[in-house]
Amino acid sequence: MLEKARVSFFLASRSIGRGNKGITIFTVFVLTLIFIQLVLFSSMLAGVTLKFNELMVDFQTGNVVIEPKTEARFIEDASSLQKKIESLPQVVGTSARLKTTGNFRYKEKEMGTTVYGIDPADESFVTDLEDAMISGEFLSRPDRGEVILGREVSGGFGALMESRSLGDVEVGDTVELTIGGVTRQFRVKGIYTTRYFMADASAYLTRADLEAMLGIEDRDFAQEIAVKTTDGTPEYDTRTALLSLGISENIRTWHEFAGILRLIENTLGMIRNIMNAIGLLIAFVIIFVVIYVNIVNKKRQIGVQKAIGIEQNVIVASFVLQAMLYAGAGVILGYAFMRFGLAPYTVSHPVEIPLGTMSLKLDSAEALNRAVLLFLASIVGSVIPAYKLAQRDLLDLIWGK
Amino acid sequence: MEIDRNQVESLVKTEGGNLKKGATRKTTGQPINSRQPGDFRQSGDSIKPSGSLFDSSSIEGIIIEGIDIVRTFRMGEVQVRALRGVNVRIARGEFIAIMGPSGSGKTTLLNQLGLLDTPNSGKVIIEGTDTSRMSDSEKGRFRLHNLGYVFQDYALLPELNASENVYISLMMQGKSKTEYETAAAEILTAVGLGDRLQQLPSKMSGGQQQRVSIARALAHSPEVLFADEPCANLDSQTSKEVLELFKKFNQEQGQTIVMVTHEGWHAEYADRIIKLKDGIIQV
Repeated sequence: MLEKARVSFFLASRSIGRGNKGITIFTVFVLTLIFIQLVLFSSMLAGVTLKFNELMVDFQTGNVVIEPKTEARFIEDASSLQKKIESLPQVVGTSARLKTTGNFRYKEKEMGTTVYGIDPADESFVTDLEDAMISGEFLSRPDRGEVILGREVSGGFGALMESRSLGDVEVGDTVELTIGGVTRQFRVKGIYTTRYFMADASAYLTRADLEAMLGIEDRDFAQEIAVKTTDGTPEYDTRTALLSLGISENIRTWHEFAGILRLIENTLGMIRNIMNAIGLLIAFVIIFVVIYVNIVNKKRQIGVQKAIGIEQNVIVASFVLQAMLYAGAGVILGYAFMRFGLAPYTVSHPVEIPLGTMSLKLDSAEALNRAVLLFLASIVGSVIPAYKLAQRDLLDLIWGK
Repeated sequence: MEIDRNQVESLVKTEGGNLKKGATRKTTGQPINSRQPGDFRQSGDSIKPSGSLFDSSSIEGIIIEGIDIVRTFRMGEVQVRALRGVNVRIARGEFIAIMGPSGSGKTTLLNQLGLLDTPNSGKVIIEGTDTSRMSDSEKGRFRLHNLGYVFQDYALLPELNASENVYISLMMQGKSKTEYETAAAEILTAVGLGDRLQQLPSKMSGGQQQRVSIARALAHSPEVLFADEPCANLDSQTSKEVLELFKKFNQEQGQTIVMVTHEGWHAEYADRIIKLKDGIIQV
């Protein structure tokens, strides 16, 4: 058994080492491209998912959200709860928000949306909304009668759901907001976009304004407290730490709010799997063709090998090993290109996508999975032609028939 | 490599190419597989060679026996009977030349005897083993251990150097690296290519390539060496060198050789000539 493997490896290595260099380079190049293609889409998807997650955390939920106890409408004594939470070393900041649905009216157009009442200073510790302003300014604590609108509400600025929006509201315009039958006019202080349409379909007032509209002035109520933690802190750990503080409100991590994102991610995952299957099929066909051409050119050599007593399975194995060595080289080169070339390049030069900027995220486990699949394709793609030819009549092979 | 010339008895050839009755010559006298690679010094035994067809009284010493071999090829709608019931016996240590006009079935007969092809009917018995009962893989193993081949166009593996071409079959036999490298170096030295072990076939002349091919065929000390028009692509001088090499191994090692040729002067190196015409042996 070992001597057979030794002969197969010997024949394969000599064939690659001393065979046609052009064919070897071409084959490895094509397999490198196939591996990159297999890994690239996964890396892009991982990058997009990461971006989704970042948008969710950076512009909407923070890392963890505290919500009222079951069946309670508000979190009471919100500021003391905030202080308690902020005592945890991993917590960067908290923002106690009021959250309700309201109806905006501008000229003839109306639109219902989520309205947040925030303390602008606290909010800046939790989300990056302040940096997301594309027109006007972010709110400040003393502001009254002023609102900032997401671009999906204001319209314009490349909003995705323009027709649903109020339509070209600009900074300085006055919009009418109705909440629970109470209507007030607000001056648009700023318009923001996070490029994440869900976050852009909201509006922000100061807490004082929203408390006034809800009739809960000076009650220190909140409907959610968004908590931002230091980078890399696992949400599960934060939740555990919060529970250990004796917090009895509902504690939810941002993952629990990411339903639609998971839907998008799963859809992209399906597309990725289809693309992988196509990529593997292409890999299989290319390996098949390359090995077949290689074998057809070596028909007589195979015949001679059989004539001098080299076993058929040894000959087949030598071609399979060749294909695996090609695949191995393709995987190594492709991985090196992605790991040390393309992925770091997109980190230093992020790619512009509708969601913002994105970098490729190379997942080693995924890359390993693709490498295994490519090896399997190379085995199948080489076994079939090698076996079919090696099985042919000895004299037909020797005579090159 | 040293050769003990005293071990070689003189050969006396009859007009018909037959060995005279009672003539003696060296043969291995060893069972199949008993010789070792690189073991080119064998003791001589006497044999009673067969006649041009065969001598039924001399079963002892017969290494190959072809019985009523029929081989038919289909070429489109036409059936070509390449061999029409050929009977042949070859004694151990004989150097046989198979001759005949084009299409007479020379190579076909060689391929049947050398287990490169399977007859439609009839049997090939080598060293008492009925090869018609062997599977393809058994034939492959048999060829690996017991038979050697020299082809008209050398048929070297272009990606292997001289030494590798020679030792590949020893490697397949499971010999150690030292064993097969030593054996390859010895046999290549014996054919005069001791200084070209690492040379690739593409860098060699036709004569040198054919010498490598002979070395490959002999490296595992086969019971029978089959050569299909080994000099067809060589000039007269190189052909002579190759044939002398065959003769040397035949006489000094008792190597049984079956060679196809269509040149009369090539056949003069052989002990016996089997003449074929239209797939039948001519007496």
